[in-house]
Amino acid sequence: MSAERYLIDVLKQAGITAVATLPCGKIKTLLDLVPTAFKEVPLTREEDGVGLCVGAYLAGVKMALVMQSSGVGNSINALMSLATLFRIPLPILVSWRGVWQEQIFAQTMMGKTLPALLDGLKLPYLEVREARDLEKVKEGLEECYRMKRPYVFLLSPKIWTA
Amino acid sequence: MLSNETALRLSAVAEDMDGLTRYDVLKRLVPQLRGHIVICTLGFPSRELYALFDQPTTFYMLGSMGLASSIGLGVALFTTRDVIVLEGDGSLLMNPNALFTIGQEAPDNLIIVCIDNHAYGSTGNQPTLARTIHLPQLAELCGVKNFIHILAKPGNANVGVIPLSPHRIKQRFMASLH
Repeated sequence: MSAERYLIDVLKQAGITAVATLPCGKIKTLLDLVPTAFKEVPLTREEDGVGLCVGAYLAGVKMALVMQSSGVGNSINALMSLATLFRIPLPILVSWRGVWQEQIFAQTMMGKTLPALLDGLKLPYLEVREARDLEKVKEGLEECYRMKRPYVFLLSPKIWTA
Repeated sequence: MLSNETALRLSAVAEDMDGLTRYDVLKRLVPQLRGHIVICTLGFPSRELYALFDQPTTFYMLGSMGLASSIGLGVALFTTRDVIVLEGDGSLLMNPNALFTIGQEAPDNLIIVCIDNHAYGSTGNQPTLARTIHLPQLAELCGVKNFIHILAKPGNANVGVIPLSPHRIKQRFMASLH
């Protein structure tokens, strides 16, 4: 099974029924699969998606957010002063640029800093650097809903090549 | 392009309100909010609304300026009930992206009521760009169906902060929906 298909299935098993998305060139296949399995809401800005997913949760629906690592920077205040403040579980699948065979140097600025940034925010996250790390995603999702917090899955482009 | 009965009622009430303060606008809106799901933007709009009329189906945002309409869309997509978002001009212009997404999804049950006083009211009435951006036109351009615009004058009522914890606001809101 492809990493993309595996992730879609794990999200479905966690009870997620809708996904808000922003694009990244490294997750084209994943993005193609999203509307086949979930209600998809394409976005223009990441923090709008944080609000959207929080609203969905308030209405009783589990929603996930897909974005590029650069977009995490655009969402920080929303993640802290909305999702964390109100204790809303929010799984965020991040296409983690700048850490593996990166061709665009600008991506390394946010990408390499992300774990330290998330540590500083005290936001839980999982580094998915290798295909074998994918099996930890299920546990991460469970933790996300148990702790009622945003939870970031950093998905290295390497996992799509397996 | 109002597509909703609650929106039509709100629009009718809103007609004679131009030139009031936000507090007086909210006072006149209260009867139309009763029993509905309400998402209120942060700062004085929430504080004034709480002082005037509180109900479990009102979600006070507390932080994350700009996301009231985003939250409202998230709720509206997954309920059949009407969702009323109380926005300000400053908060709407901080995240106009919400209007783009709402236009795309175009839910009939989402109503944005924008109280536009051309000012960042909670931070000392600094002018906003609503002086040069006509918000109803922006909303229409984005494809937002139910957008009600009320021109108000700047000024805050002398009301305290909301004494509810974030947990309490969330808990009672969710309980009242299910």
